[in-house]
Amino acid sequence: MPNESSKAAIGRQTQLPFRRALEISLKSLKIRFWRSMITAAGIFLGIAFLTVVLTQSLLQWPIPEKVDPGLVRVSGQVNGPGDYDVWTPASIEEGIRAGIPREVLERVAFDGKFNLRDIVQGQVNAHRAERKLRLLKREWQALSKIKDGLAFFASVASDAEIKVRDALKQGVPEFTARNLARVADVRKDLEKRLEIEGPNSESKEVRALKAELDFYMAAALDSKIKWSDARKYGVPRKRKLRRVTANSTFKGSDLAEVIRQQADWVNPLFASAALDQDISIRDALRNGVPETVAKRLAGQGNTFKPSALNDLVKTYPDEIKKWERRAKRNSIFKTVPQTAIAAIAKSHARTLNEILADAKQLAKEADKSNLMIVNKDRKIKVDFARHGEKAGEIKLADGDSIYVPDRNSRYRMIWLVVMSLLVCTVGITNSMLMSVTERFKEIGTMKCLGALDKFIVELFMLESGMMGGAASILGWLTGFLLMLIVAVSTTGWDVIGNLEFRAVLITFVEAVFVGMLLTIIATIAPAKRAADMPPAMALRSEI
Amino acid sequence: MANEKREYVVRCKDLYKEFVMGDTVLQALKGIQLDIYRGEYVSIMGPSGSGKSTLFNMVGGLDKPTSGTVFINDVDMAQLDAQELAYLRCRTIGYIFQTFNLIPVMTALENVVLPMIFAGVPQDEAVERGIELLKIVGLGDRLHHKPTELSGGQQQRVACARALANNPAIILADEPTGNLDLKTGKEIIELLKRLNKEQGVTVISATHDLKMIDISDRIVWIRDGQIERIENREDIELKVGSVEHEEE
Repeated sequence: MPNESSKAAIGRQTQLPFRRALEISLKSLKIRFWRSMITAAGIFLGIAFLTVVLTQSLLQWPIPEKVDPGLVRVSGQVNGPGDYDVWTPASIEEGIRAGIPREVLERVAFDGKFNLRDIVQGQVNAHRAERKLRLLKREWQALSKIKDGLAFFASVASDAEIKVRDALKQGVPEFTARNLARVADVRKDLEKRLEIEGPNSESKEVRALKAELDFYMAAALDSKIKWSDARKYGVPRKRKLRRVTANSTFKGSDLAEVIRQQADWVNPLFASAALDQDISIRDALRNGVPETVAKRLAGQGNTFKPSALNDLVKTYPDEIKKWERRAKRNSIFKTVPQTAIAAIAKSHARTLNEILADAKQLAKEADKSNLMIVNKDRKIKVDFARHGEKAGEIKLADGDSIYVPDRNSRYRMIWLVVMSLLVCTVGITNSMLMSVTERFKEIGTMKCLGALDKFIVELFMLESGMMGGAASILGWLTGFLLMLIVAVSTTGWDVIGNLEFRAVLITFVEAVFVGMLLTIIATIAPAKRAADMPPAMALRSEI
Repeated sequence: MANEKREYVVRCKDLYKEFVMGDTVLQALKGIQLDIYRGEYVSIMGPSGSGKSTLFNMVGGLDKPTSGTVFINDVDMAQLDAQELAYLRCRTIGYIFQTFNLIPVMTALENVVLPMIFAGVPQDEAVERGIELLKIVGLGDRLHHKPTELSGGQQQRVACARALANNPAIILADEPTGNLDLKTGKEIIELLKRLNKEQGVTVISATHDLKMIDISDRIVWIRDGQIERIENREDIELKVGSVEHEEE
């Protein structure tokens, strides 16, 4: 029978200090690193998936679009998407009080009122016109140097009648020009002859004329060929060298033929012009074409036709006049001080409700709790569901993009999050169950050595907590980077600008917290079960 | 010697144990009475399925009987709560298993020190004693090896050292030589006998090994969940043979 003394001999086992448990769990994790990694993979994948879903909701902010000045853009689930005025009309007196010069107001006012939009747009137009004008003038400076040559050689391509005088001015060698003129002369005689004698005539005269043709053509190509060589070409002795003057003409196509055969006295730009061939941007730049012009003409490709350049050059004088007029017309808007504009903007900004009314109200599918207003430096979420119509009293600013999301996408997001949590849970529970089950024998042994049930559970909680933490962090990182890569490749690098550090941090904390929580919860049940088992059963496990 | 009043270290009364497996109920123990004296060396023998292991588990506090009582040092096991049970397992009983059951993530020394840590012994003292124990079992040069780096015999020796860590009154050995070769098995048996004689530790083993039975004081034969007979060693005819050249 148990008596008091022997009962005292039985003591109470105390719980080991936390430090010990930590030591043992760290050691276990270190040893079982690779095994743990496989277990952790379940957590890792689950958390990566969760992170992808969470990050996606961060990236849902649309990128601010380029809206014309004085307007806001409404897109998404509205019945009338499009651009709308952001300011209501103001009276002329208000304008003057704000500091807008009277002349400006007089220009834009109608019925005693004016819209700030016109002034702002005028300013933008003025700047644009000035910029364009500067560009055109710069280009013209370069182009005017080559325009004459370009025109000349373009006319060569169109087989015009070319005067020897003009050819010489453009650098055509004298022997070439004069001989080509002679060629033209011979051709005229030949034509007359053939008309009289018939096209198939082989008479002496026709043959002689043909020989002259060949000779003069060869002489046009080769400066070494002289009149004394004419006999070699079959030109009769009695023939005399034809006379040409500065006003004699020849055919452009003949000159083109010469250029095609030997073109060392003409630059590639003019040669291409004469032959109506494409010229590459690089060659064009080397020969005096401004880069902006060359790129504009080439478009998507790498080459353009000099004839196109020739046509373009002809338009410059008129273009320049046009933009000068435009700049002058809009210069008056530049006299309006920014403070004046800001003052009117502030007092006449329309509210979201007004704009939505213009846009014919939200569509049925609109997600009323999640409207987004973006501008280059502002991001606002509007929640009609929570705040009712009051939410729409936000004043808009110039350039705002209002995006109304689809209600279903929010449900989809919620569904995704729930699904991903389920996936996480299943994966983690499975992993932890496996991990605890294969250590039953070890647990039994520990109990034989005097470990309390609580200690066993604590050991496993620590291990799983640490592993869960590490796997969650890695999972978050992977999920986040993956999401980023997908977003950048579909929308572009601007999407990164949309991410706020704080929001990203919040997803990090959420993901890691969920990961660790699920891991720990998933471990409690099997660990407790193992700890509660009588050692005999635990030791019997055949693993 | 026969008339000396000896203390009981373990007493079992009317032990019954049932295992419920689905629809069937398996009666593992059907009314066991067993008394074991302090300082004895007892072997429990029996064919597979006889309830040998089950009895062993009862006696060692590794499982609870369905009915009946087990007294260890005159304390009713059923009256102990979890903490007291843990205390018992930690300090009063030392366990040696057939499959060694060392903690794989710890070195030999750490394994031997672990029960002392559970007993609240300060780290330095525990390590000192651990080294001493490992020397006693002949593993002074393998203190920092993990179980995977030790042979079967060495692991079992570490397990012996661990069993002795807190100076237990009882050593429970379940087929300690089961996974060992002849020579190593002999060494372990040698060790256990030495402990039994020199330090008065009660050794209770469940075994098939005739060499173990050879050195026991009493042998308990169990069959079909009941004790067939209990014999003293001197009353048994037992010849343990050996193979030529096995010592080499």
